[in-house]
Amino acid sequence: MVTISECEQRTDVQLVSLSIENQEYYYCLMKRYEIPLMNYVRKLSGMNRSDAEDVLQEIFILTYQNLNDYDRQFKFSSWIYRIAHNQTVSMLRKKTKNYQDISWDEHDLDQLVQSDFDIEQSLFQKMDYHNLLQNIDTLPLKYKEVLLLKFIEGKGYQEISDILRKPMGTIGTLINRAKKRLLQEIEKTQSRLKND
Amino acid sequence: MTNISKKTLEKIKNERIHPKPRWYFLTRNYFFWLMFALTTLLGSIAFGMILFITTNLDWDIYQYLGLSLPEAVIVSLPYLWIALLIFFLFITYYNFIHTRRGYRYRFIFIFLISLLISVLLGFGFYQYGWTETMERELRARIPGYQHLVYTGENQWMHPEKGLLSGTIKEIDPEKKSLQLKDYQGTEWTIDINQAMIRGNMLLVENMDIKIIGQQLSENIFEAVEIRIPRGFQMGRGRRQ
Repeated sequence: MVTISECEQRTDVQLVSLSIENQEYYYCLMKRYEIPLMNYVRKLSGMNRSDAEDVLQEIFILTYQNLNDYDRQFKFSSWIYRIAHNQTVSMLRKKTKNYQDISWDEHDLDQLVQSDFDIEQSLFQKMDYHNLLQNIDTLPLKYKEVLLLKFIEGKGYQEISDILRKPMGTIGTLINRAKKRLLQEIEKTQSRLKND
Repeated sequence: MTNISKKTLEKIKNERIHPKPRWYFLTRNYFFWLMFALTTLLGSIAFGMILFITTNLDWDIYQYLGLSLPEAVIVSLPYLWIALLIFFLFITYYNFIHTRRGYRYRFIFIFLISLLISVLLGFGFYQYGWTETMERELRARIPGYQHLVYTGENQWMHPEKGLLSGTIKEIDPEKKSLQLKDYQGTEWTIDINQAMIRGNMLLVENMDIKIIGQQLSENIFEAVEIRIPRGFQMGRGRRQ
Protein backbone atom coordinates (compact mmCIF):
# COMPACT_ATOMS: atom_id res chain seq x y z
CA MET A 1 0.00 0.00 0.00
CA VAL A 2 1.22 3.48 -0.86
CA THR A 3 1.97 5.49 2.27
CA ILE A 4 0.93 9.08 2.84
CA SER A 5 4.56 10.17 3.09
CA GLU A 6 5.13 8.87 -0.45
CA CYS A 7 2.39 11.17 -1.68
CA GLU A 8 3.13 14.26 0.36
CA GLN A 9 5.48 15.77 -2.19
CA ARG A 10 3.15 15.13 -5.08
CA THR A 11 0.57 17.56 -6.39
CA ASP A 12 -3.10 16.72 -6.85
CA VAL A 13 -2.65 16.58 -10.62
CA GLN A 14 0.25 14.14 -10.32
CA LEU A 15 -1.76 11.99 -7.95
CA VAL A 16 -4.68 11.91 -10.39
CA SER A 17 -2.40 10.61 -13.16
CA LEU A 18 -0.85 8.04 -10.81
CA SER A 19 -4.26 6.95 -9.50
CA ILE A 20 -5.48 6.15 -13.00
CA GLU A 21 -2.53 3.75 -13.35
CA ASN A 22 -2.43 2.49 -9.80
CA GLN A 23 -5.45 2.72 -7.52
CA GLU A 24 -3.23 2.67 -4.42
CA TYR A 25 -2.33 6.29 -5.10
CA TYR A 26 -5.98 7.21 -4.94
CA TYR A 27 -5.79 6.54 -1.23
CA CYS A 28 -3.52 9.60 -0.89
CA LEU A 29 -5.96 11.82 -2.74
CA MET A 30 -8.83 10.62 -0.60
CA LYS A 31 -6.85 11.14 2.56
CA ARG A 32 -5.99 14.67 1.47
CA TYR A 33 -9.66 15.59 0.99
CA GLU A 34 -11.35 13.39 3.57
CA ILE A 35 -11.67 15.96 6.35
CA PRO A 36 -12.43 19.08 4.26
CA LEU A 37 -15.06 17.23 2.24
CA MET A 38 -16.60 15.62 5.30
CA ASN A 39 -16.96 19.08 6.87
CA TYR A 40 -18.37 20.51 3.68
CA VAL A 41 -20.93 17.73 3.25
CA ARG A 42 -22.06 18.02 6.83
CA LYS A 43 -22.33 21.78 6.81
CA LEU A 44 -24.18 21.84 3.53
CA SER A 45 -26.60 19.08 4.43
CA GLY A 46 -26.80 19.01 8.20
CA MET A 47 -26.35 15.24 8.05
CA ASN A 48 -25.15 13.23 11.01
CA ARG A 49 -21.64 11.80 10.80
CA SER A 50 -22.70 8.31 9.83
CA ASP A 51 -24.90 9.45 6.90
CA ALA A 52 -22.24 11.93 5.81
CA GLU A 53 -19.65 9.14 5.74
CA ASP A 54 -21.86 7.14 3.39
CA VAL A 55 -22.22 10.16 1.12
CA LEU A 56 -18.49 10.81 1.26
CA GLN A 57 -17.75 7.25 0.22
CA GLU A 58 -20.07 7.65 -2.76
CA ILE A 59 -18.32 10.92 -3.62
CA PHE A 60 -14.91 9.24 -3.57
CA ILE A 61 -16.09 6.34 -5.72
CA LEU A 62 -17.75 8.67 -8.20
CA THR A 63 -14.62 10.80 -8.34
CA TYR A 64 -12.50 7.72 -8.97
CA GLN A 65 -14.76 6.54 -11.77
CA ASN A 66 -14.57 9.98 -13.38
CA LEU A 67 -10.84 10.62 -12.99
CA ASN A 68 -10.41 10.66 -16.77
CA ASP A 69 -12.88 13.50 -16.96
CA TYR A 70 -10.71 15.75 -14.81
CA ASP A 71 -9.49 18.73 -16.84
CA ARG A 72 -6.00 19.66 -15.68
CA GLN A 73 -6.65 23.32 -16.38
CA PHE A 74 -8.98 23.41 -13.38
CA LYS A 75 -7.97 23.08 -9.77
CA PHE A 76 -8.49 19.49 -8.65
CA SER A 77 -10.01 20.78 -5.42
CA SER A 78 -12.69 22.69 -7.40
CA TRP A 79 -13.47 19.56 -9.36
CA ILE A 80 -13.79 17.25 -6.37
CA TYR A 81 -15.80 19.87 -4.47
CA ARG A 82 -18.13 20.04 -7.47
CA ILE A 83 -18.72 16.30 -7.32
CA ALA A 84 -19.17 16.50 -3.55
CA HIS A 85 -21.60 19.36 -3.93
CA ASN A 86 -23.68 17.67 -6.62
CA GLN A 87 -23.78 14.39 -4.75
CA THR A 88 -24.80 16.06 -1.48
CA VAL A 89 -27.50 18.15 -3.13
CA SER A 90 -28.77 15.08 -4.94
CA MET A 91 -28.92 13.23 -1.60
CA LEU A 92 -30.77 16.15 -0.03
CA ARG A 93 -33.35 16.05 -2.81
CA LYS A 94 -33.89 12.36 -2.26
CA LYS A 95 -33.76 12.60 1.50
CA THR A 96 -36.46 10.93 3.48
CA LYS A 97 -35.43 12.40 6.82
CA ASN A 98 -34.93 15.93 7.94
CA TYR A 99 -31.26 16.41 8.79
CA GLN A 100 -30.73 18.74 11.70
CA ASP A 101 -27.43 17.63 13.14
CA ILE A 102 -25.76 20.96 12.51
CA SER A 103 -22.04 20.59 12.47
CA TRP A 104 -20.95 24.21 12.71
CA ASP A 105 -18.49 25.17 15.39
CA GLU A 106 -16.99 28.31 16.86
CA HIS A 107 -14.03 28.09 14.52
CA ASP A 108 -16.42 28.51 11.59
CA LEU A 109 -17.83 31.67 13.04
CA ASP A 110 -14.35 33.06 13.61
CA GLN A 111 -13.59 32.41 9.98
CA LEU A 112 -16.80 34.12 8.97
CA VAL A 113 -16.10 37.24 11.01
CA GLN A 114 -12.46 37.45 9.97
CA SER A 115 -13.29 37.09 6.31
CA ASP A 116 -14.39 39.95 4.11
CA PHE A 117 -17.91 39.47 5.32
CA ASP A 118 -18.52 43.18 5.36
CA ILE A 119 -21.97 43.30 6.84
CA GLU A 120 -22.38 44.83 10.24
CA GLN A 121 -20.00 42.91 12.40
CA SER A 122 -21.45 44.46 15.53
CA LEU A 123 -24.53 42.46 14.78
CA PHE A 124 -22.52 39.27 15.01
CA GLN A 125 -21.08 40.32 18.31
CA LYS A 126 -24.54 40.75 19.74
CA MET A 127 -25.53 37.26 18.76
CA ASP A 128 -24.36 34.06 20.23
CA TYR A 129 -22.66 31.63 17.91
CA HIS A 130 -25.43 29.14 17.95
CA ASN A 131 -28.06 31.64 16.83
CA LEU A 132 -25.94 32.96 14.00
CA LEU A 133 -25.18 29.54 12.67
CA GLN A 134 -28.81 28.57 12.98
CA ASN A 135 -29.63 31.58 10.85
CA ILE A 136 -27.22 30.45 8.13
CA ASP A 137 -28.93 27.09 8.16
CA THR A 138 -32.33 28.65 7.57
CA LEU A 139 -31.17 30.24 4.31
CA PRO A 140 -32.22 28.67 1.02
CA LEU A 141 -29.62 26.25 -0.35
CA LYS A 142 -28.51 28.60 -3.14
CA TYR A 143 -27.45 31.19 -0.53
CA LYS A 144 -26.16 28.75 2.03
CA GLU A 145 -23.85 27.05 -0.46
CA VAL A 146 -22.16 30.28 -1.60
CA LEU A 147 -21.70 31.52 1.97
CA LEU A 148 -20.20 28.17 2.91
CA LEU A 149 -17.80 28.07 -0.01
CA LYS A 150 -16.74 31.70 0.23
CA PHE A 151 -16.48 32.30 3.94
CA ILE A 152 -16.03 28.89 5.54
CA GLU A 153 -14.16 26.98 2.84
CA GLY A 154 -12.32 30.15 1.79
CA LYS A 155 -12.78 29.58 -1.94
CA GLY A 156 -12.28 32.34 -4.51
CA TYR A 157 -14.95 33.46 -6.97
CA GLN A 158 -13.46 31.46 -9.84
CA GLU A 159 -13.33 28.31 -7.72
CA ILE A 160 -16.92 28.76 -6.56
CA SER A 161 -17.91 29.32 -10.17
CA ASP A 162 -16.21 26.02 -11.12
CA ILE A 163 -17.73 24.14 -8.20
CA LEU A 164 -21.29 25.34 -8.71
CA ARG A 165 -20.99 25.56 -12.53
CA LYS A 166 -22.32 29.11 -12.60
CA PRO A 167 -20.78 32.24 -14.15
CA MET A 168 -18.59 34.36 -11.85
CA GLY A 169 -20.95 37.32 -12.15
CA THR A 170 -23.81 35.16 -10.90
CA ILE A 171 -21.66 34.00 -7.98
CA GLY A 172 -20.96 37.62 -7.00
CA THR A 173 -24.66 38.43 -7.14
CA LEU A 174 -25.57 35.35 -5.12
CA ILE A 175 -23.01 36.18 -2.43
CA ASN A 176 -24.34 39.72 -2.08
CA ARG A 177 -27.92 38.52 -1.90
CA ALA A 178 -26.96 35.82 0.59
CA LYS A 179 -25.32 38.39 2.85
CA LYS A 180 -28.37 40.64 2.74
CA ARG A 181 -30.68 37.73 3.35
CA LEU A 182 -28.60 36.57 6.30
CA LEU A 183 -28.71 40.05 7.76
CA GLN A 184 -32.50 40.06 7.47
CA GLU A 185 -32.71 36.67 9.17
CA ILE A 186 -30.45 37.86 12.00
CA GLU A 187 -32.55 40.98 12.51
CA LYS A 188 -35.71 38.91 12.56
CA THR A 189 -34.24 36.58 15.16
CA GLN A 190 -33.05 39.48 17.27
CA SER A 191 -36.41 41.22 17.28
CA ARG A 192 -38.08 37.92 18.14
CA LEU A 193 -35.69 37.45 21.04
CA LYS A 194 -36.39 40.98 22.27
CA ASN A 195 -40.15 40.42 22.15
CA ASP A 196 -39.77 37.17 24.06
CA MET B 1 -13.51 9.11 12.69
CA THR B 2 -13.80 5.97 10.58
CA ASN B 3 -11.06 5.66 8.01
CA ILE B 4 -13.31 6.32 5.02
CA SER B 5 -10.40 6.53 2.60
CA LYS B 6 -9.23 3.05 3.55
CA LYS B 7 -12.74 1.62 3.42
CA THR B 8 -13.35 3.23 0.02
CA LEU B 9 -10.11 1.89 -1.41
CA GLU B 10 -11.07 -1.59 -0.24
CA LYS B 11 -14.46 -1.23 -1.85
CA ILE B 12 -12.86 -0.07 -5.11
CA LYS B 13 -10.61 -3.13 -5.09
CA ASN B 14 -13.25 -5.63 -4.02
CA GLU B 15 -15.85 -4.46 -6.48
CA ARG B 16 -13.25 -4.01 -9.23
CA ILE B 17 -14.26 -0.42 -9.85
CA HIS B 18 -12.21 1.32 -12.56
CA PRO B 19 -12.09 4.83 -13.96
CA LYS B 20 -14.28 5.23 -17.03
CA PRO B 21 -12.18 5.54 -20.21
CA ARG B 22 -11.16 8.96 -21.47
CA TRP B 23 -12.93 8.49 -24.81
CA TYR B 24 -16.24 8.24 -22.96
CA PHE B 25 -15.88 11.78 -21.62
CA LEU B 26 -14.45 13.15 -24.85
CA THR B 27 -17.38 11.70 -26.78
CA ARG B 28 -19.83 13.27 -24.34
CA ASN B 29 -18.13 16.66 -24.69
CA TYR B 30 -18.04 16.42 -28.48
CA PHE B 31 -21.68 15.38 -28.46
CA PHE B 32 -22.67 18.64 -26.77
CA TRP B 33 -20.52 20.64 -29.22
CA LEU B 34 -22.11 18.79 -32.13
CA MET B 35 -25.58 19.44 -30.77
CA PHE B 36 -24.60 23.07 -30.25
CA ALA B 37 -23.55 23.33 -33.90
CA LEU B 38 -26.67 21.51 -35.09
CA THR B 39 -29.12 23.63 -33.11
CA THR B 40 -27.29 26.80 -34.18
CA LEU B 41 -27.72 25.67 -37.79
CA LEU B 42 -31.41 24.97 -37.22
CA GLY B 43 -31.77 28.39 -35.57
CA SER B 44 -30.11 29.93 -38.62
CA ILE B 45 -32.56 28.20 -40.93
CA ALA B 46 -35.42 29.48 -38.79
CA PHE B 47 -34.04 33.01 -38.98
CA GLY B 48 -33.54 32.70 -42.75
CA MET B 49 -37.17 31.60 -43.09
CA ILE B 50 -38.36 34.57 -41.01
CA LEU B 51 -36.32 36.86 -43.24
CA PHE B 52 -37.61 35.26 -46.43
CA ILE B 53 -41.26 35.28 -45.37
CA THR B 54 -41.29 38.83 -44.03
CA THR B 55 -39.39 40.34 -46.96
CA ASN B 56 -41.56 38.45 -49.39
CA LEU B 57 -44.70 40.03 -47.99
CA ASP B 58 -45.93 43.27 -49.52
CA TRP B 59 -46.29 45.75 -46.70
CA ASP B 60 -48.10 48.40 -48.78
CA ILE B 61 -51.29 46.50 -49.58
CA TYR B 62 -52.75 45.98 -46.12
CA GLN B 63 -55.44 48.59 -46.80
CA TYR B 64 -56.85 46.31 -49.56
CA LEU B 65 -57.28 43.66 -46.88
CA GLY B 66 -59.10 46.09 -44.61
CA LEU B 67 -56.31 46.11 -42.02
CA SER B 68 -54.36 48.80 -40.22
CA LEU B 69 -50.54 48.54 -40.28
CA PRO B 70 -50.30 47.13 -36.70
CA GLU B 71 -53.03 44.60 -37.56
CA ALA B 72 -51.18 43.67 -40.73
CA VAL B 73 -47.98 43.12 -38.71
CA ILE B 74 -49.81 40.93 -36.19
CA VAL B 75 -51.44 38.86 -38.94
CA SER B 76 -48.29 38.53 -41.01
CA LEU B 77 -45.58 37.58 -38.48
CA PRO B 78 -44.27 34.05 -39.10
CA TYR B 79 -45.02 32.83 -35.57
CA LEU B 80 -44.09 29.23 -36.33
CA TRP B 81 -40.56 30.19 -37.35
CA ILE B 82 -40.18 32.76 -34.57
CA ALA B 83 -41.17 30.07 -32.05
CA LEU B 84 -38.74 27.62 -33.64
CA LEU B 85 -35.93 30.20 -33.57
CA ILE B 86 -36.49 30.86 -29.85
CA PHE B 87 -36.72 27.12 -29.18
CA PHE B 88 -33.44 26.43 -30.99
CA LEU B 89 -31.74 29.31 -29.19
CA PHE B 90 -32.69 27.77 -25.84
CA ILE B 91 -31.53 24.32 -26.93
CA THR B 92 -28.27 25.88 -28.16
CA TYR B 93 -27.84 27.51 -24.74
CA TYR B 94 -28.54 24.19 -23.00
CA ASN B 95 -25.95 22.39 -25.14
CA PHE B 96 -23.35 25.11 -24.68
CA ILE B 97 -23.54 25.18 -20.88
CA HIS B 98 -23.02 21.42 -20.88
CA THR B 99 -19.69 21.72 -22.65
CA ARG B 100 -16.65 21.76 -20.37
CA ARG B 101 -16.48 25.49 -19.77
CA GLY B 102 -19.81 26.65 -21.08
CA TYR B 103 -21.15 27.34 -17.59
CA ARG B 104 -18.67 30.20 -17.21
CA TYR B 105 -20.69 32.39 -19.55
CA ARG B 106 -23.87 34.21 -18.67
CA PHE B 107 -27.16 33.22 -20.23
CA ILE B 108 -27.57 36.56 -22.00
CA PHE B 109 -24.07 36.35 -23.52
CA ILE B 110 -24.62 32.84 -24.90
CA PHE B 111 -28.11 33.75 -26.07
CA LEU B 112 -26.92 36.85 -27.94
CA ILE B 113 -23.94 35.09 -29.50
CA SER B 114 -26.19 32.25 -30.71
CA LEU B 115 -28.66 34.80 -32.05
CA LEU B 116 -25.87 36.65 -33.85
CA ILE B 117 -24.62 33.42 -35.47
CA SER B 118 -28.19 32.54 -36.46
CA VAL B 119 -28.71 36.00 -37.95
CA LEU B 120 -25.48 35.88 -39.97
CA LEU B 121 -25.93 32.32 -41.24
CA GLY B 122 -29.66 32.86 -41.77
CA PHE B 123 -28.93 35.92 -43.84
CA GLY B 124 -26.51 33.84 -45.92
CA PHE B 125 -29.14 31.14 -46.47
CA TYR B 126 -31.61 33.81 -47.52
CA GLN B 127 -29.12 35.44 -49.89
CA TYR B 128 -28.34 32.14 -51.60
CA GLY B 129 -32.06 31.42 -51.99
CA TRP B 130 -31.97 28.27 -49.85
CA THR B 131 -34.78 29.53 -47.66
CA GLU B 132 -36.97 30.13 -50.71
CA THR B 133 -36.33 26.59 -51.93
CA MET B 134 -37.05 25.24 -48.48
CA GLU B 135 -40.25 27.25 -48.19
CA ARG B 136 -41.44 25.89 -51.52
CA GLU B 137 -40.57 22.33 -50.50
CA LEU B 138 -42.31 22.66 -47.14
CA ARG B 139 -45.38 24.08 -48.82
CA ALA B 140 -45.44 21.23 -51.33
CA ARG B 141 -44.62 18.37 -48.96
CA ILE B 142 -46.12 19.25 -45.60
CA PRO B 143 -49.91 19.23 -45.57
CA GLY B 144 -51.32 22.22 -43.74
CA TYR B 145 -48.04 24.18 -43.77
CA GLN B 146 -49.67 27.08 -45.64
CA HIS B 147 -52.16 27.43 -42.79
CA LEU B 148 -49.34 27.69 -40.24
CA VAL B 149 -47.37 30.38 -42.01
CA TYR B 150 -48.78 33.55 -43.52
CA THR B 151 -46.85 34.12 -46.73
CA GLY B 152 -47.13 36.27 -49.83
CA GLU B 153 -49.41 33.66 -51.36
CA ASN B 154 -51.88 33.93 -48.49
CA GLN B 155 -51.65 37.69 -48.71
CA TRP B 156 -52.45 37.81 -52.42
CA MET B 157 -55.21 35.20 -52.61
CA HIS B 158 -58.09 37.62 -52.14
CA PRO B 159 -59.59 38.29 -55.60
CA GLU B 160 -62.77 39.64 -54.00
CA LYS B 161 -60.63 42.32 -52.34
CA GLY B 162 -58.70 43.08 -55.53
CA LEU B 163 -55.60 40.97 -54.86
CA LEU B 164 -54.62 37.97 -56.94
CA SER B 165 -51.44 36.07 -57.65
CA GLY B 166 -50.41 33.05 -59.65
CA THR B 167 -48.44 31.83 -62.65
CA ILE B 168 -48.89 33.11 -66.22
CA LYS B 169 -50.00 30.26 -68.45
CA GLU B 170 -50.58 32.08 -71.70
CA ILE B 171 -50.30 35.64 -73.02
CA ASP B 172 -52.56 37.10 -75.71
CA PRO B 173 -50.85 40.34 -76.89
CA GLU B 174 -53.68 41.22 -79.29
CA LYS B 175 -56.44 41.12 -76.70
CA LYS B 176 -54.06 42.42 -74.07
CA SER B 177 -55.02 39.64 -71.72
CA LEU B 178 -53.41 36.66 -70.12
CA GLN B 179 -54.37 33.33 -68.63
CA LEU B 180 -53.31 32.91 -65.03
CA LYS B 181 -53.41 29.90 -62.75
CA ASP B 182 -53.65 30.93 -59.09
CA TYR B 183 -52.03 28.99 -56.25
CA GLN B 184 -55.26 27.15 -55.56
CA GLY B 185 -55.36 25.90 -59.15
CA THR B 186 -58.13 28.16 -60.43
CA GLU B 187 -57.67 29.53 -63.98
CA TRP B 188 -58.30 33.24 -64.54
CA THR B 189 -58.49 35.53 -67.53
CA ILE B 190 -56.73 38.76 -66.72
CA ASP B 191 -57.45 41.95 -68.61
CA ILE B 192 -54.18 43.90 -68.69
CA ASN B 193 -55.31 46.81 -70.90
CA GLN B 194 -55.02 49.36 -68.11
CA ALA B 195 -52.29 47.60 -66.16
CA MET B 196 -49.09 49.22 -65.02
CA ILE B 197 -46.26 46.74 -64.69
CA ARG B 198 -44.03 47.52 -61.74
CA GLY B 199 -40.35 47.20 -62.38
CA ASN B 200 -40.79 47.63 -66.13
CA MET B 201 -40.41 43.91 -66.77
CA LEU B 202 -41.62 42.02 -69.80
CA LEU B 203 -44.29 39.48 -68.92
CA VAL B 204 -43.47 35.94 -70.01
CA GLU B 205 -45.15 32.58 -69.64
CA ASN B 206 -44.52 30.64 -66.41
CA MET B 207 -43.73 33.87 -64.62
CA ASP B 208 -45.18 34.29 -61.12
CA ILE B 209 -47.00 37.60 -60.78
CA LYS B 210 -49.06 39.52 -58.24
CA ILE B 211 -51.98 41.63 -59.41
CA ILE B 212 -53.88 44.52 -57.87
CA GLY B 213 -57.18 45.17 -59.60
CA GLN B 214 -60.79 44.19 -59.57
CA GLN B 215 -62.70 40.95 -59.91
CA LEU B 216 -65.16 41.43 -62.76
CA SER B 217 -66.84 38.04 -62.74
CA GLU B 218 -66.18 34.54 -61.45
CA ASN B 219 -62.94 33.98 -63.42
CA ILE B 220 -62.27 37.36 -64.95
CA PHE B 221 -60.06 39.92 -63.28
CA GLU B 222 -59.06 43.39 -64.41
CA ALA B 223 -55.47 44.31 -63.57
CA VAL B 224 -54.48 47.81 -62.51
CA GLU B 225 -51.01 46.99 -61.29
CA ILE B 226 -48.84 43.93 -61.87
CA ARG B 227 -45.93 43.08 -59.61
CA ILE B 228 -43.23 40.53 -60.21
CA PRO B 229 -41.81 38.75 -57.18
CA ARG B 230 -38.34 39.99 -56.26
CA GLY B 231 -35.48 38.00 -57.67
CA PHE B 232 -37.53 36.39 -60.42
CA GLN B 233 -35.35 37.79 -63.19
CA MET B 234 -32.34 35.99 -61.70
CA GLY B 235 -34.07 32.66 -61.95
CA ARG B 236 -35.90 30.76 -59.21
CA GLY B 237 -34.15 30.42 -55.93
CA ARG B 238 -31.77 33.31 -56.52
CA ARG B 239 -32.41 36.63 -54.81
CA GLN B 240 -31.37 40.12 -55.77
